[in-house]
Formats: sequence, C-alpha cells, structure tokens
Amino acid sequence: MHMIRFPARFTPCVIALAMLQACSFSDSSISISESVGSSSESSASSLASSGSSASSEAAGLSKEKKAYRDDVANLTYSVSGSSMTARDFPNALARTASQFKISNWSQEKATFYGIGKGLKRAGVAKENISRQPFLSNVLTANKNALSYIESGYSH
Amino acid sequence: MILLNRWRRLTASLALLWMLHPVTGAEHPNESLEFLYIDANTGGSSGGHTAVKLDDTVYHFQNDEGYTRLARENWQRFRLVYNDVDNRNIHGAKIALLSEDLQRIRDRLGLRFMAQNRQVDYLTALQRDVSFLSALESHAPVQIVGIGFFDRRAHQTSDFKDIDDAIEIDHGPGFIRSERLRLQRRLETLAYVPPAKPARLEPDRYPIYDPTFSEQLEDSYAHWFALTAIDQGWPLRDGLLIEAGPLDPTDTATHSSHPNRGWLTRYRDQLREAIIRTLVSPYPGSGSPLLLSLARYQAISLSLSTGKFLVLDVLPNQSERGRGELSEADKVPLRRLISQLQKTVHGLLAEGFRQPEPDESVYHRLEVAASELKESQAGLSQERAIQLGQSDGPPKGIGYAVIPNHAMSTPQLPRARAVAAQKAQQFLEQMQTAYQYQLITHNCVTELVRAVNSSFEQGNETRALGGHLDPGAEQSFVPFRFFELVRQRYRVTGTETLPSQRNRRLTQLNHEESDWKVWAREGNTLTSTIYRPRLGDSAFLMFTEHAFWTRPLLGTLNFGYALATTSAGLLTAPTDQASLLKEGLFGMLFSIPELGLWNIRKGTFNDMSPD
Repeated sequence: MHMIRFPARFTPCVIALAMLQACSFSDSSISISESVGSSSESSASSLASSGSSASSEAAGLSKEKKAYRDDVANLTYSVSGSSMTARDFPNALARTASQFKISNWSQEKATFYGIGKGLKRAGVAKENISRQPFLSNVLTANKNALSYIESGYSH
Repeated sequence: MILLNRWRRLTASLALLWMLHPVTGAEHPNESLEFLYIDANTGGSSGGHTAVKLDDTVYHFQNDEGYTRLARENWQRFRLVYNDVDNRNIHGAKIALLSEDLQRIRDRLGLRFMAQNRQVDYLTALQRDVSFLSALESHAPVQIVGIGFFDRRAHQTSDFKDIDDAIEIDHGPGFIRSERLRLQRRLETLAYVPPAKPARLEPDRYPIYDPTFSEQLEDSYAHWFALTAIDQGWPLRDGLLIEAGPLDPTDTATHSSHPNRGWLTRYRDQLREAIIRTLVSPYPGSGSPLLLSLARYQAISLSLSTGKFLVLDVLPNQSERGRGELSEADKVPLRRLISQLQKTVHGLLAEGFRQPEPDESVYHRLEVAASELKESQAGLSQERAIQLGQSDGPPKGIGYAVIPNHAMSTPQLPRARAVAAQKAQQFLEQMQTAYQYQLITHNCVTELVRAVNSSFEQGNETRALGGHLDPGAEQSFVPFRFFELVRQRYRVTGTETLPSQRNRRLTQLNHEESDWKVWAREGNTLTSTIYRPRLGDSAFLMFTEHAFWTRPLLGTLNFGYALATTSAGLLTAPTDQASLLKEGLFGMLFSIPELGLWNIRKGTFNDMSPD
C-alpha cells in the first residue's frame, strides 16, 4: 500500500512544473502487448458475458446493453420536445449505437427500451408515445417497436 | 510506523467525517462512486490526473486541441493505460450516495459525453467539407466508409438475388435501377450550401445539425454503391474473409440442425430485413451501415454454403503497414495472447451462438477475436510488430472513389472551399469558447467538479455527496489537492491505492529477495530487471519515487546524467532527429522537482505485467 505524500506547502514553481501538461491525452503508444492485454481481457470478459447471458436475459439486458439503453434514454430525453425530426432521429440513434459497436440499431431491443425510458423521463404520457412526431420512422423500423418502447417505458 | 500511525489517524478521521455527514431523511446511501487521483508521470498529465468511476465506466476530462473534452472509458482500458503502461499509482476514494443521486450523475455525464461527441463529429464533418471540395476541384478520390468491402466485378455472386427479388416484388420492377439513377443525378447536381452558424453550444443538450455537404455526398454515394452491388452481384474483395473455424465445431461435416447454422440463418434474415428497409427508406448517415450489412450478409451466405464460419477481417492489410520488427521480449506476451485468443474463438464457436435471438454484438466479438488471432499469428510468424488497438469497432471497409459531381463551376469550387474552411474554423472557435481549456480555471479537475455539481439543483450536491467543492477553489485545480479535498469534504467510505506496474513488481521481488538487494538492483535504470528505458521517459539514472529525504541527492545524479545525455545528444542530433537531445533536456527538466523533494518521473512500460 502506498501512501500519498502531500506537502503542506508547495512552491509555485513546482506547481508550474507539475501542471506542465496536466490533463493532456494519455493514450500512450499502445502497441503490441498493451493491446494484448486489452484485447484478451475484453475477449475474455466478452465470452464471460455471452456465457452468462441466461441470467442477463432474466435481468433484462446485459451490462453492455444496459449502458447502450441508458445512452439512448439520455438522447431521447434530450431531444423530446425539441426540433428533432423523424428523419434525423434515426441518424442520432445510429451515432449512439456506433459507440457500442452496433451497426443495426433497429434490430436491438435495447434501442427501443431506451427510447421508452427516455420518454418517461421527459414526462411524455404512455398513451402519447405513438404520437411523437420524431418517432414516426423509428416506429416502422421494427415490427415490435411500439411494444418494446412501452416495455422500456414501464420498467 | 509513522505511516501506519498516520493511516490510523486518517481512518479515524474518515469515520468521524462519515458521522458528521448524515443523509437527511430515512434514506441511506446504498450506492457508491469513486473519485480517482492518478499520480504524475512524464508525458501526458504530468501534473497528475483526475477521474470519476461509476461502476465499470470512467469519465475524465482531457485537453484536446485547446478545449476540454469529456472522455468515457471502460475501467479495464483506463487501468491498462494509466496503471500498467503509464506506470502511475491510482488512488480511489469511494463516496456513498443514494441510487437516484448516482443515476443523476450518470445521466448528466452520459448526456454531456454524447452531446460533445456529436459536436466533435459535426466539426469533423465541416472539416471534411473542405477536403471534399478540394477533391472535387482536382478530380481526386475521397475516402468513403464501406465501399472497400466489395470488388466491382459484375455477376460474381448470386447472394444478393433474394434481396433484389424482395424489393422488386414489394416496390415494383425497376425500383433498384430507378433509385440508382436518382442517386446518380443527386451526386452530379448537389452543390455546396454553407451551413448556418449553429446556436450557442450547450454542453447538456444533444445538438441537432443538418447533414453537411460531405455527409450528403458520402451517404448518397454509399447508397448508390449498395444498389449497384445488389444489381450487378458484386462479390466481397479477395482476402477480406477469415475462417474462424468450422460452422459446427464438434464435427467438420455440415449439419443443418447445428445451433450455429440456425443462429446464422436467423441473423441473415434480420440483416435482409434491415437492408431492404434502409434501401427503401434511407435516413441520413445510413449508407455506411448499409454496406456493412451487405458485406456481413454475403459472409454469412458463404458460411452457410461452405460449412466454414467465415467473418469479415476487422484488421485488413496490416502487413502492408510497416511497424518494425518484433523483439524477442515481445514474443512472450504475443504467444500468451495467441493462446488466449484461440480459447476465445473456440469458446465463441462452441457456446456463443446458442441464444435463440441473433445478437450483433456476439457476431462482432467473433469478428474481432478471429481477426486479432490471425494478425497475432502473422506477426509471430513474420516477426513483425503488430497493432491491435484499431480493431475497436465493426469492420470499416474503407475505400476511395471519385465523386462525379458537376454542380459547381471551376471558379465556384475554390470559393466554396474557402467558405467551408471559414465555417469549420468558426465552429472550432465556438468549441474552444464553450469548452475552453485553461491551466488553472478550466482543466481536468475543475471541469469534473462542474460536471458532477451540475447533476444537482443548487446545493443538492452537498446532500448527495456529503459536501461541496467549488471548481478550482482552495487550489483544487491541482489534481492531488483536489483528491485531498474530496477525502476531507465528501462522504468517503473507503480509500484504496492500486500500485503502478513497477510498484507491483517491486513488491513481488521484495517477497523473494532481501530489500537492499532489490533496491540496489532495481533502484536505477542501468541494472533494473523490471524497467527498460523508453523513448519519452526522459533520460534518468535513479528512481526517486520511494526516496524522500535522499531525493535531492538522487535528483542531482539524475540532473548530471541528463546533462551528459544532452551533451551527447548535441553530437548525435543530425543523425537521430535530435531524439537523444530531447531525452536529455526533458531529463534535466524532470530532475528539477526532485531537487525540491518532489517526484514526477516514474518510468513507463510497453508491455504487460506478469500478473
């Protein structure tokens, strides 16, 4: 266990030196073996999550998908009642999905659960979901879209 | 002993703090978040760094081209970069809070991250307008994502025939050809229209932007390309597919009833449905995902017909990018990686596709693991360095095309390019104003405090976190000072330090050998078995992280060593691009704090620790 040593007083010159490059990118030059670690860890965890998907199904969604759903909910909450059009909302969804390596947002239930969650947070009444103009293209993107959105709204 | 006593006093103080910060009402905090302080080191964040961890997600602010950018990372990745590679201790302070308060912070940071990402994407698109207009001027090709999947040889595959048939049945014969013509006309006639200046940038609201000129052209071209690929039966490019293994891993013969086959068939049906819908009702930005779906569709069709699980390579053409030779030391972790990846691929083939519902993320995991395995094996056999970090995301299918646009005359194009450049610059300035980076008032610490505080209505953060911090006040703009204030003011339930890679390895050695032997060998960069000097670490001789009273003396040695390196660097500057000179100069710079009892430099690593 390492203790942090905080001196009672520090000179301005030390601060200046220490802050020389504060907060700049620390991406390092991740090459061969750094990515060894990240990829093997992610592969291992991925496998674990795919293996444990039965329990995740019971809970609704895996951890990754919950994070995606929450981003979609945030997006929906933010654009609900704004000038977002039915044509632009799928684009915003596609951008959000791509952060999670998802290319087909319309095939992901989590997309619709997130929309439902976001609408509820924005105060849209459940019976008005299908009347939201910005959702009209999304509702036709998947035959179960409305029921998934309502499910996301209720949970 | 002194440290132990201090530790006890600190623990007692924390307990007292906890009692002094009760949560009002009957509710008790049942969740936690963790503020992180990352020790200083050379390179980026040499003043230390700060982040907040919410479950497995870490948020932190970075300086990106003159503005503060919120980054979101997986904890494993964050720890790999800062704790292992950058060799910094990570100190964490856990704060207890109510689940709804944690959700508020999560929502605020998540929304801020998405909103800023969209703004950054828009800036990139405005900058691409400039390069697209330049390309149109010189009739040069532009990069388009997705078109690199296909080889433009007609009638080489019949895999798209069912898509073609379904569209013709639902939307009438000739639909695909008329759509191709419509898109061709659009590509030819789309003129640059300067976008209106966006409203003031709001960090907590997802912005709405019209597609830019380059986005419209790229999208139209991708759709035209997809329709042509279907119409003319273009195959996937040679060498793009990897065989992950047999479709039925228990028997190489094809079994129509094997779960993998059923899963792939259902996934192909899903893709077909999505492809047809996107072709008939496109939305802005749907071109590149459409081409990826078509490429995967063909890969799956081939898998089902050949009995081999074929996936797209997410790391194509790596051998063409010279990255130097693979060192002997790097072969050890590479072999370990190959073994792990083999297990992952086999595991996915055996168990990954058992779920009744197809899931793109599972399919993508196999794409990544199979690609990384292929690349690692190639790197080992060809003894060349490899780079796997780029495999982060679906296959890209990067390709180049000359856009047949004739909407603007020769004198109009340079004028349009100048206007586009001005628009991009204006927006960059808007970003720099909205998210200004300043060393003292707007840095990684102050912005983190502002973001967390903004999750709550006025004053409620005190109730939620147990205390209040003003951004930058009381010298809290310095990361370690901020962490000290967090421990004093917030409702801290525990602290933890994750030792850096070197410290972990030192601890291990201390269990095996006597302390003085380890110190004598590992305390300097010449005889250390743990550390190998790396470019960018700056020239130094003695590690000073664990020394305190002797630090000025060791710092003097380091200064002298760096001075000597600088002198040598002056001689070698013409031949080594002044790299030794830079190492020497930085070595002197980072020795100065050591003369004043302060340590920044700790050395960095380029490989994983044994644990």
